[in-house]
Amino acid sequence: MLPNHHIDEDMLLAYAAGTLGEAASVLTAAHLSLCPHCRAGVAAAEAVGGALLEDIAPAPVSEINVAAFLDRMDAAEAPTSQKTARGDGLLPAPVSNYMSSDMKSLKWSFVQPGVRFAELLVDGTGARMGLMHTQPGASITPHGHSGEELTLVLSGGYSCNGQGYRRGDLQSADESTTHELTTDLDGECLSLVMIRGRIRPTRWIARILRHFTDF
Amino acid sequence: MVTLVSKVLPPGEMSALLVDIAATRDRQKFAQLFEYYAPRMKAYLMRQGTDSAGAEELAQEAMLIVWRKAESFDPAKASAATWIYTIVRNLRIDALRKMRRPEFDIDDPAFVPDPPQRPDEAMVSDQLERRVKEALRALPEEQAVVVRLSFFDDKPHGEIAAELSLPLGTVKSRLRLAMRRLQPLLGD
Repeated sequence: MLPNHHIDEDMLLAYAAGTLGEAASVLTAAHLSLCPHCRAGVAAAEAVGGALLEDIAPAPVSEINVAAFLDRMDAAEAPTSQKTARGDGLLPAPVSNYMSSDMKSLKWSFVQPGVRFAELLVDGTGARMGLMHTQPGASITPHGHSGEELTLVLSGGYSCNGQGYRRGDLQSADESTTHELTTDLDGECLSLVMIRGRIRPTRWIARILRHFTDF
Repeated sequence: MVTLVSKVLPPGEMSALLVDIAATRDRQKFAQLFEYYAPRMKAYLMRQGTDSAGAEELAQEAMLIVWRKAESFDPAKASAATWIYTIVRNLRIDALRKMRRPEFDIDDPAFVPDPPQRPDEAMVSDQLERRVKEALRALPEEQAVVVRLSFFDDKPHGEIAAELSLPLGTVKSRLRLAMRRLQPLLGD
């Protein structure tokens, strides 16, 4: 089944331009692994990059003997290309590349009953990325955000504001959004989450929990 | 200094040259490609804030990657300009932003392949590039400006918005409108 909830066009463009932070890029690349529709969007945006490169006023470069340059380079050892490890089909390669161990051995922290989080990356922009695991029927209490939050479902599903999210679906939230996520009853849900800024729980209990979990 | 090849070649010519280089490993032909793209890569890198010497070094490094990876160029998937753009972009991210560039991998067992295309939907990548260029020229100026800045300034959209004294939401919506004009070109 193909995803129904996609990446915003401006984010696809930032990914193609290479200006997106690392955590948001991992999320984008993971969604692209699962979504032919958005891959076509990135291909169009990269074609824009190609067209702009073609049209740019060239900067003068020093004259070099290209053949001799290649001889010198061929004599040096060519770097072995890093091939991504073969995944198990559950986690897209852009995500599993950030894991040195399997899922069970990750450092999971308690968020609230039925909800755990394992951090994989804090990037240069201060955005945190990690896996979130929720039990069937578990809800993530209503919360707001001081920055952007992106959620990509990897297995199972959840509902939020009357919409269903399944594998490959991406949900974005920001300062203006308050939402509550409820895991589907028929199974556990695993998603990749990126958070910029802080989560603002709207219930007193969540406020207390935040002191203990730093989530 | 070499004489600048500033004329823009007909689309397809560079893609054919690159395919030829991959097949023959002909160094003279590669020198032609080098003369055409190295000054453009250097200009692109300088626009991103790299100094002249640094930009030249990175452009040479990028051209070396082009030489080493030429066999993996597939003219059905992207034009030479687009493929070369992604190489210099990734090198810039790696060298200047000091971060990894996460990308999807078609050999990944989790990868969901494209649905089969009807023959009448298939578009040659050089044809796509030509149409993208036309669509870019036809964009309203306010959209074209933010698209150009997104590609040439190594800055998040928030900073571009601040420089243009525009709300971030306005910059984002202009980029979305521009992308929607470009995306139908892919027949999606």
